[in-house]
Amino acid sequence: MLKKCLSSFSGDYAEMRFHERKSTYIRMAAGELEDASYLKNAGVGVRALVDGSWGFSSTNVLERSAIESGLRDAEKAAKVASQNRTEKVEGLAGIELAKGTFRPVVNDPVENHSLEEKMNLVIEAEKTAKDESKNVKSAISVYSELVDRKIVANTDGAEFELHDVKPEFYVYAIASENGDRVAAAKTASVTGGWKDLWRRKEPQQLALDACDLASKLLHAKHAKGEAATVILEPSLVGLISHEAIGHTVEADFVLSGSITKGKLGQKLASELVTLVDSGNPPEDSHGTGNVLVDDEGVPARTTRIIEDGVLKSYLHDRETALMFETEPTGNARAFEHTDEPIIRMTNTYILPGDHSLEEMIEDVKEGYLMRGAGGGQADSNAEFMFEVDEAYRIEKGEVKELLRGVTISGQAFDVLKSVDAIGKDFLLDIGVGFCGKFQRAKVDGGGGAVRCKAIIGGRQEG
Amino acid sequence: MMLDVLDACKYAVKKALELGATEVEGFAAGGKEINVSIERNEIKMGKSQELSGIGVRVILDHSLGFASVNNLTKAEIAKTAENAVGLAKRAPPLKFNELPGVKPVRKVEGLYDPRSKDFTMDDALENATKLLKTAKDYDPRVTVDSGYFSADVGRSAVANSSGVEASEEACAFTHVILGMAVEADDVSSFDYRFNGTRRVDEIEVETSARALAETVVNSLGAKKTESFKGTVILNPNTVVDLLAPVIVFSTNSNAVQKGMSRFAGRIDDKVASEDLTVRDDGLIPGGLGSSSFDREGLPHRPLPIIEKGVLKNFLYNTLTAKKEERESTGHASGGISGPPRIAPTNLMIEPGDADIDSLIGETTKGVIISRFSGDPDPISGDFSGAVKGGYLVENGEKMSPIKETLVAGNVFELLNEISGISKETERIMSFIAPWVRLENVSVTSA
Repeated sequence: MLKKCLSSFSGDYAEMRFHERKSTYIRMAAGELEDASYLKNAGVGVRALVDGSWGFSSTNVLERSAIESGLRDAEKAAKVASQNRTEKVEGLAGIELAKGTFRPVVNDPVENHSLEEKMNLVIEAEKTAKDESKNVKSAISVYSELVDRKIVANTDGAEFELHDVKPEFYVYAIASENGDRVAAAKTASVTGGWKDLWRRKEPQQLALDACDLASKLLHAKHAKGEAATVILEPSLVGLISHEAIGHTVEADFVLSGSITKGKLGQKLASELVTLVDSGNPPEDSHGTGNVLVDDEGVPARTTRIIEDGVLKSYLHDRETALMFETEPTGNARAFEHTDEPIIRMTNTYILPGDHSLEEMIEDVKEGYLMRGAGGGQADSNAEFMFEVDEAYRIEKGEVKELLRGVTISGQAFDVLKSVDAIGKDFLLDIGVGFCGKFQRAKVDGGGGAVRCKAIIGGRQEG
Repeated sequence: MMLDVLDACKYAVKKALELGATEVEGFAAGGKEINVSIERNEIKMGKSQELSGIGVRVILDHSLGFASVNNLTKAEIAKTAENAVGLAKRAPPLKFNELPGVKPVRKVEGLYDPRSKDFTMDDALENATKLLKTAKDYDPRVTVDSGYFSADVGRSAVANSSGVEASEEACAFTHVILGMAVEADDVSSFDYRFNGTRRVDEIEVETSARALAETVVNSLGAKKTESFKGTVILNPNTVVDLLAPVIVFSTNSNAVQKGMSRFAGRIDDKVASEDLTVRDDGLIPGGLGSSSFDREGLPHRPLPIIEKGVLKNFLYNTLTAKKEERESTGHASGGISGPPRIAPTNLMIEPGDADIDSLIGETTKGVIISRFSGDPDPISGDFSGAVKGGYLVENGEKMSPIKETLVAGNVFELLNEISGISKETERIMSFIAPWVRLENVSVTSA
């Protein structure tokens, strides 16, 4: 039907995207089931390129007349916007667009597991986290899943159906003692099935780990601020790759003047570093950012953003790919049918190297081992600062005590220049939650562990 | 056939009761969005769409179930009611799960402007263009990464099985602008501004555009400063980003009851300097956070939160109020996609008696912050983040812009370190905030 609706279109380009999303959200906090929701969101988003400008409309009425009227609205909107546009959109880069049906690798579909089972799991996890230690008086546990089906057709020949399933789970434990409070989280998230979600750790174990970490942090010392050698486990490698590097290579942001503008071909990192974005990473990684085909019909690929330390590529949709005279990279994505596709990362990671984590630690006289991404911020000039969930001091090649309130900061490219070892164990590990850029998106990131230099922050005591 | 929002709510209530629900609530919203977006110094796209949907909350023997759908046909509503009942059947009970009864609701004026009906895509384009052009004309080094102007007109309704029935029409004209300044190899910090109004004749985008341009241009050529412990002056924007989230979280009765709020058990205690008065009022005519009734159909009421430094009230919805056998304060919040939560409506930090110039003039050594980048931890109050668009103040004079400067501390401690609040206030979406001067803040040069 979408194809028929497009047949009357006479502008430069149009696409129609039916998107049905069924999501489940279960949240337990301090012994109370705060939310048990089932949400359905379905409709058709229509985007048109007319007179060198974009127009968009959507409808939740799944009938031909409504979809056709959506197309007319999108055309009209494009014509209006075109009046005040000085430089017109010249067109879209050509590439073989997807046809057929695409499904992610799923071991044991989440749909085969009952709501009771999911609810009980959340209830039990919260209870475990709270009851395990006398210091943990409050805990939150959440299970959520997005089950998507899309059918896309556009005037350049894309015609495909895409299925997608992204479940996630987290436990957040808050430990307190004498008015002092500290929190710790443990997470699991994938594109895939029930078995895939728990492939590293069972939910009860995650609850125990969160509880254990929170109680240990309560008695941990603050770090002192200094420039130091740090070993970042994949969660932090992913966070820096996504937030501090990835956003600066999104082509729309490059065109606005991000720090990487005009730097293709320049050496911006250690030659050990190859940093990629891939909507279809190694099968067993089940990246939460997996996108087999993007919303413009471009099949997933692995884009080498930095290869052996040299900046090789930006992330593109079809519009920016034409402007840069290159191929689109499969990064055009919309969150729901009411959103238009924009450039978004998928799974952003550093390719693994050949060191074991033990070898990387052995060589460090003084430094830190860090894991677990907390809150933080990154800027257009790649300066970043993130909180670290779990930081251990390293002394003479041995991992010592846990520290609390630790932050890591620096200029991301400077940090990547200082990389002198990369771990061989690969993990995507930042998939819980959403990345925000006007719309939300599911993304992931990681890599091998990385040894580098960065600034460690700690709150001054006293 | 799509039902009207109130009819949709009533239909959901009827259907869920038939399926065995003890109590039911429907909350529906529908409307039209016209939006013109900006990207990389250009008008990017026109967008027009109609949206509608309903959220159904079911309580079955004190167990909660919730379902929603973005559609108001009878068939979809019936299915959604069934899903909500299905979830409630499986959920553990909580004895406080009950819906509110009817309370008289007084209409708040100025939420709907009849001229919004005639607002077109061309009008939205004119405003988006003005937003972009004002920033670009301020200085050629300004680059507008993205932004939009949006006009939203719609109706929301709530109905429950205890007889609550209410609906209301409202409109909002909002804008956002994000950008930076670029000069040769120097890329400034990223910054953003946003605001909005409910009246067509009050639409004004230039202030946001100029404020953004000024901040990013001034942070070009910024210099590092030394580390010190001293005075920090927050503009209203930074008050909203740094202080407000911690106050909002800590006065949320759900956080208080669950042991996550540092304000638990501290009503009538002094929690801040005497200069600080914070209140919430969801009844302000035309306020962006105003409405005649809350997410549960109850009226809002003006609520003092902190009065002259003394903690006065927490914010409640029906569930959290029941746990303490008290009345909801009318702060149930949220939309169609989840059960009611708790949030402020229009949050106001009262002006003080200083003017901005004297706040700066009295400062021996300090930093003015135009934007704080980082998230304060609302539980502990700890924050550590970057100063954006910052200036050094020395001997009462505003000096050079500064860069790579971090501020860190604890919001709860800083609330007691307020040394001045400006007479001048700014309205930023649903917040009204003055300039606030704080002492003893750690400023670190990176």
